[in-house]
Amino acid sequence: MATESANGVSSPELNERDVVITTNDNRNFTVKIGVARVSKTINNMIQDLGESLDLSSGIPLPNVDGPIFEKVLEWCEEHKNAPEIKVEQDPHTRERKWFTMTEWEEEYFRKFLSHLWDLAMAANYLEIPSLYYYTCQKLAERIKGRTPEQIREMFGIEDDLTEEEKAEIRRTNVWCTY
Amino acid sequence: MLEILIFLDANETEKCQLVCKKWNRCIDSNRSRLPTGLPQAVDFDSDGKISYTTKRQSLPRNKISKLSLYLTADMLTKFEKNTKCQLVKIRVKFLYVYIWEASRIALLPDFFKCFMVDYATISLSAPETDFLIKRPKFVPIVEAPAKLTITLRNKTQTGCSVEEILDFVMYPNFPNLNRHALELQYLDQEKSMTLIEKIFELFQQNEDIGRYFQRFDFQTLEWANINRVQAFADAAQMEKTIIADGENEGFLFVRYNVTRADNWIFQLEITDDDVSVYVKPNNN
Repeated sequence: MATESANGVSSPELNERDVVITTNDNRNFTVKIGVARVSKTINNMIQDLGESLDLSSGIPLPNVDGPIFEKVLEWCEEHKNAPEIKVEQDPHTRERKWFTMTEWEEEYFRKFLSHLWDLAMAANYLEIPSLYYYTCQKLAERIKGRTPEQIREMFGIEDDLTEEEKAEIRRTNVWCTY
Repeated sequence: MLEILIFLDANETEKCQLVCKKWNRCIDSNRSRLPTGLPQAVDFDSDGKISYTTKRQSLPRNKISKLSLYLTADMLTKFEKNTKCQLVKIRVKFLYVYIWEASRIALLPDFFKCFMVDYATISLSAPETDFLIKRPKFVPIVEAPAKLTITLRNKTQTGCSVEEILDFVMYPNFPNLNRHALELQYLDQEKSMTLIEKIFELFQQNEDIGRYFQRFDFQTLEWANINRVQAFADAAQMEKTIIADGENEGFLFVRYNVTRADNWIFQLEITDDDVSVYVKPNNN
């Protein structure tokens, strides 16, 4: 089996080559290295393996399912040349500043609305800051303005707090109006 | 989870504690990273904007921070220009009203809506104190302070009457939980005595004055007037106890008690330089 070198990681030529990525359900995805590198985790693997990287036998991703990776790849394809996102926080309130998303990104999240948690976990593992932070923002957007009951229903969470515990939370949180 | 919550404001974050145990634990143990921390120092920029720095990153809300905010006329005037600014809201633990400097009483409601501190010091002139005491609604405190101190400086005695002070402290729309002490510093002797008598009168009439404050401290009575307090206590046939220092057998204070049929107690404690009045349930 021919082993191609992955050294010289920034070369445009290498970015155009294909690499096989295998998800935890044994699905193989043939991806351009330039697209796969949007993930810092995969990029690090490519760099670490260097000479020994076998582009055809694949990079294993034991923590990501095929269906989710497929969605992640869609993001990576769109963001392969995008600059690093800037994460800002209000120094006074500690609130993170909300990102402005493009039409494509809005549509992406509309399409995968029911997979936001999985996307966030995959983006976290694969170290894709744009996908991770934007997904978190989308989840925050869904939580904002909804009652705890609505949040539980939306995410399928069991209500395991007793009435006493809820009363205590309300008592200690002066500003909690729910 | 934290990366999601950090996009939300403090109220939204607190709401999420009600979702489930896991979320509650996560928020509770990571408060220092969430938009719920308390500012440590407050200052005004030269352009009038309020700014503050957080010195300690970790400050659980159920612990009381010793944040002291001293409001002067200048600060309140600057605040007026920025009433829409977003500030972290925290609860009032102690509210000190020092009355000796001119300021902008009319701005207080806006200020309290936006900013709650553990220790708030408000400097007011005597006429402004009158204004405040006659309009208790001007102090829209979300949660009652554990201690409210009203300091009346000798030279700027407020013109408000004892009845008005009582109306102020018994204002029905004030939140009344956890309000333990009202400290009146430098209230003149005549007014102090009249107020003590009024409190006792209300106590005898079964008025629930303890609902508002369970302790009133008068720090300005001199011996001459303390004798008057003792005479008043004797006339009311209160039980007298002299509390001495156990080791040195020195005088500490005199305590007078009278208990109501419902087991509430009116208690006077007299030391060399102050008088404390307690109206509280008798737990003995």
